[in-house]
Amino acid sequence: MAMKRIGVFICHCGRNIAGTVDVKRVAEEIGKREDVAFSTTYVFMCSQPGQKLIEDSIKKYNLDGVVVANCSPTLHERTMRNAAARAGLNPYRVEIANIREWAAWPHEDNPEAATRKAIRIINATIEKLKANAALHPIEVPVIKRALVIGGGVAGMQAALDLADAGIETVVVEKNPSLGGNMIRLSETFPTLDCPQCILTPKMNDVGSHPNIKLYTYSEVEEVEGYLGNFKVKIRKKSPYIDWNKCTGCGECAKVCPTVLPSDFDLKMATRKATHIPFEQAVPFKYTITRYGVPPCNAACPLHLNAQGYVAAAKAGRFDRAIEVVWENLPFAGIAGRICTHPCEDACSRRFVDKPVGIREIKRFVADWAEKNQKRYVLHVEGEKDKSVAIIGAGAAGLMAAHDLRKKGYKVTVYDKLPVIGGMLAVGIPPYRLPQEVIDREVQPLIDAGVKFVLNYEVNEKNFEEIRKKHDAVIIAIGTHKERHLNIPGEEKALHALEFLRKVNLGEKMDLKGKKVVVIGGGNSAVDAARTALRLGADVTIAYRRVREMMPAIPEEVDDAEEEGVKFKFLVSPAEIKDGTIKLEKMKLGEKDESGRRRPIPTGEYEEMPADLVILAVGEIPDASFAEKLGIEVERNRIKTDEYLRTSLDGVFAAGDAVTGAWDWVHAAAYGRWAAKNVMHYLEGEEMEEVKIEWKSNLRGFPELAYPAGRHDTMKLDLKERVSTFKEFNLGYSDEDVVDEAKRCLGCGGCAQCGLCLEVCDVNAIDLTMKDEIVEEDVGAIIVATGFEVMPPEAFPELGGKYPDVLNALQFERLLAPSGPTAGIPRRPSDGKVPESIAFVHCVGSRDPQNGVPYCSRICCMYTIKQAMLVKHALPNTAVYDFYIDIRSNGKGYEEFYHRAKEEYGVNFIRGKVSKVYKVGDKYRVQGVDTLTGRIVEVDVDMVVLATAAKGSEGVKELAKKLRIPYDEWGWLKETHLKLKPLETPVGGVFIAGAAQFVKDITDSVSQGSGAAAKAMALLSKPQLEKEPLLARVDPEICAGCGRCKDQCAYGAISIDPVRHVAVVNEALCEGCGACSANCPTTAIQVVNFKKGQIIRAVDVLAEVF
Amino acid sequence: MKEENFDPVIVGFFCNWCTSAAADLAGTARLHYPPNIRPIRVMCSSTVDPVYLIRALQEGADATILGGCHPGDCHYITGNYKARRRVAIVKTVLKSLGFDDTRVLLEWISGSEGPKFARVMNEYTAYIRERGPSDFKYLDSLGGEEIE
Repeated sequence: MAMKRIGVFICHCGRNIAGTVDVKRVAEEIGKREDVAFSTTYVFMCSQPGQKLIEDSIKKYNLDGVVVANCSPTLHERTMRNAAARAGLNPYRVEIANIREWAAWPHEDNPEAATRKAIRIINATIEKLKANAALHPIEVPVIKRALVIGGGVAGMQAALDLADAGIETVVVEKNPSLGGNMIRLSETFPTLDCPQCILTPKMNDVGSHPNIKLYTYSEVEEVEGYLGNFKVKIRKKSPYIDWNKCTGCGECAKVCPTVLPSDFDLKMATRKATHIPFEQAVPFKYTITRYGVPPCNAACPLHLNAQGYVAAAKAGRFDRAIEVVWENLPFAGIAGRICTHPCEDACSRRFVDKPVGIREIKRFVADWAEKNQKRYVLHVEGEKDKSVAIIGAGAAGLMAAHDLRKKGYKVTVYDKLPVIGGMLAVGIPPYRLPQEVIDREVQPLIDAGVKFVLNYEVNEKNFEEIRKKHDAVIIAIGTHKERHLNIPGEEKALHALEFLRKVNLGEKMDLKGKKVVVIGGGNSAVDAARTALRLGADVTIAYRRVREMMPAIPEEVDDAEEEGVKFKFLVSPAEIKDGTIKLEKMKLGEKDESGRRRPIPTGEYEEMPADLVILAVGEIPDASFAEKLGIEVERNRIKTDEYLRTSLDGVFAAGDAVTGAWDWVHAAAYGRWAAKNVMHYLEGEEMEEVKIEWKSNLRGFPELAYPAGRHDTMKLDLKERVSTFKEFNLGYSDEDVVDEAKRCLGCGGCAQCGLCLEVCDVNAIDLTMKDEIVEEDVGAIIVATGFEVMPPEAFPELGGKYPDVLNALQFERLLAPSGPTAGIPRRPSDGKVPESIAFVHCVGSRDPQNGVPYCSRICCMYTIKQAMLVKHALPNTAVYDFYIDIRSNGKGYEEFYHRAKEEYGVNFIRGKVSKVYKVGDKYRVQGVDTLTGRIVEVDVDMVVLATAAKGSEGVKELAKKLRIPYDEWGWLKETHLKLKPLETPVGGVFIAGAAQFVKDITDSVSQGSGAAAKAMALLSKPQLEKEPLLARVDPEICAGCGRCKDQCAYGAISIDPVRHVAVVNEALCEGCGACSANCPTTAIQVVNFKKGQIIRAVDVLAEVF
Repeated sequence: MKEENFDPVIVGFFCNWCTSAAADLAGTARLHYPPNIRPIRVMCSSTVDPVYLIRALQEGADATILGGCHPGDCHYITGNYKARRRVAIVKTVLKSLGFDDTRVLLEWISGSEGPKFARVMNEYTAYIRERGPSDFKYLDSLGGEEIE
């Protein structure tokens, strides 16, 4: 029932409102309304007499509703509602009309308009109020536990205060140790305490307090619920070490070959991939850092752990390296010789100089294993009774055979050739890949029970038999059919495959003194040319484009040239005659689909002598074979779906037969995928889509790059090389392989080489450990995520790109007695002790163009402290301090500044620095002294920039999860800057320390305690009250359509299956009203925000006058 | 439709958590913007029924503005996305009926963006002032009642 006796109380707010709004006139105008029983003004409605006035008036005039026209409801809504309640009026029958922030202040330049707007806002508020129902808060239980996010000094203080008060507290810290930024500092101003000494007791208390549950190396993943009842999901990042077992002995770090920049020391030092950030860390447990899949591993179609075996090789542990290769691939020797190494093409070292010789390192360890009689053993993981036939014993077939056998399937491989290896055996000449390498790497498959049926041609007659005999078939027939040129005389030529096959299978062929022309530019052409050369021929490769466009591996082309193969470019064969070949000259035209410029015939011809022409113009699968078997073929290739299934049930295909002629590693990768999906097929599982290449954006750490260039391998003596079929590439020497491995930039972090596993006595290390999600229920949350400072690189004009120009936090590490230089600052570039240092204040701070508009508050004091500490450590070092203003507004701060100036002789120069640049060995700091008006130039050894502070990385994402506001610099926003600095608009979520804005340790600690007190007040209540402003359904008109349910972000609405109407779960509803806006019948509405109420208010607001 | 001394009426629906807070901040900082903005606080931008916007235009407003939290920052998780969809529909309906769809504006203004609040109010008022009175509110004078 609409209210009829409303009281309106208009506040002057001193002159804040009354200075602009004519409050008397407002009261008069409003008083004219029929539904208003009483209206008045008062100087401060929030004062006790003001509240009394409301209470008395409610009683005196028997008011049924109250509008207080004053400030924002965030400030005094509660005050006014409490006053009304004391007078017996339901508090939900009180509404605030915000005429201060929304009328008086923004329109102080226009009192008439402000007054009219105030009247209008009050009228609209009355219209809304009139249908307000009397409500009672909903009582909800409160979970008497708290969560503190951030383990810096503020967070630790909050956690300890809560825990001491008997409240079980969960602490989440994203780094492996507690301590935050404070533990990085050298000493603290103005007392010159050492944080390692004063903070570690707190860290230990947090680590061992019976009421504190500590999650370090963890982050908040998800937050649900509300005041008093939060459900928090925490991601425990995998440290790859079981912390329950780790004793902190450090043996793992001793053997770890992967060196990374120390994040704790802000790159001022290095550390191992397994590490404890600093000596006093709590908990004292090792953490292994892995950034992700490194580019080499991602680019490898077989995803070999390249960084892993390179890391082991770096440690000289070739036995471990070969094991790492074997984890994924038994054919290390084959891959080490002929792989086209996509890993090296992706290697981040290429941005420094040349990629790491990954393939040759693998080849070295494969040969090392053979030399030391270490052989791969295929361990069958439990026999299965199903069998698979593989047609083709080449790259794809062998890989598939291995993987299937490993999982226990019976495997039979059929091949029409008399040897195992397919193209590896008959397409690649033995001087690149000796047959004994193939044989020795296939042997483990034979030993494990893979059956090879050679000299057996599968055809339409025996294929059905094979299908019947086996549960699945993989066709991996490769590309053994030559492409034809269709030129006159082609029949006189030999095709490269045929030529290589004959030579490889031992057919005698004498080419001594003969002129041989090889047509083509791919690997087959180069192989054929080098083979003919070894048979005594005078060989020329004729290619229709130019050298840079040859598809062959460039190193192979170089090797061919070195051996004496000649090249003729921009020619295409026109006719093959007896003893000569007619070539048409070509020129380069537009780019074609391969991205290379297309050769265009010129119409000019030349002839050159040729006793034998070898055509190496491409290979294609023998599609007729598949067609005869009734398998669908597309563009001469076997057609498969994304799971490598052919058109016949249970028949899969892989390798070059599917992709067209490619290379060993891709064929093997397809073989592996075919095996995987065959297993899924046989087990009735879901198929996996083939995905060969992964993405990795990791770029490693060029600043740590080992200075050696790429090493060359040893080669067979040239004379011997061209006259025999002995392997010409002899690989790395023992020394070179280690040196080459050191060139790795360690992109992925931990390389999973496994060396640490060997030395961990307690078996704590688990390199397959996954992140874990844990759930904690808490009643209150304190966010104490701290700050970060801008990197020096952000200020190139101030020399931020130079190694000896640091930001202040980096310099703290150099000053810290526990830091990488043991407290004596040294230049990162050359380790020299600086004879002069310049400090620059306000870098990025108070500078909206280049940084942030605000003062970063702590920089003046820490810079003075650093200047003083430099003087302590190096009394003869000259210290220049460029400042704009010294802001030393804390207890003992000004005195500290004077000590620096007077006792220590720090040279303070008032003025801005405009430029820092390198002059010889020194850095020239160019600035101005505004007190003398002169330009100042000093040459110093080091520059320290006091860069601006910002909210810490990732805080915005966290704020979104908590639904608390933040600003563009990453500072969390308080409810009220002056009066509610610890509160956020989200009930039960508090902020403390530098997360709110950069502040010193004293203030951070105070806020930590303050936030803890706030949380305690909340958690000490037996029950909490929840706003009753929730959605309600009128079942009389609800049609049960469910549109409200779709809108609800909280899952608070369900449809009653019996009555077929919507039902609201009050514990989950947050009262946003999204449901009501989507309801076609107005059946669901938020109490006291009903559509009729809003529309009546809108009518007042929209009215023209 | 341009009139002399045209003073537009603009109804602003401001969500409780972001844009209302921004309006408070703009006021506290004494940032000036035209009094033509007539504000109402709603809990969430998603609670604004398209009917409210149409009603305001019908009852005399020359424009309406809906202010919500930035995408991803909604206090009610996804309310602002719902609001965005509703506003898009209102605009489509207005446009297809031949009315000016720029008279419904959706803006993301966070609780810390007092200056942005003032700027948007200034710019939008200037824009509507330039555009002239809305013809939507004259629907009643098109003879509707007479048919009855």
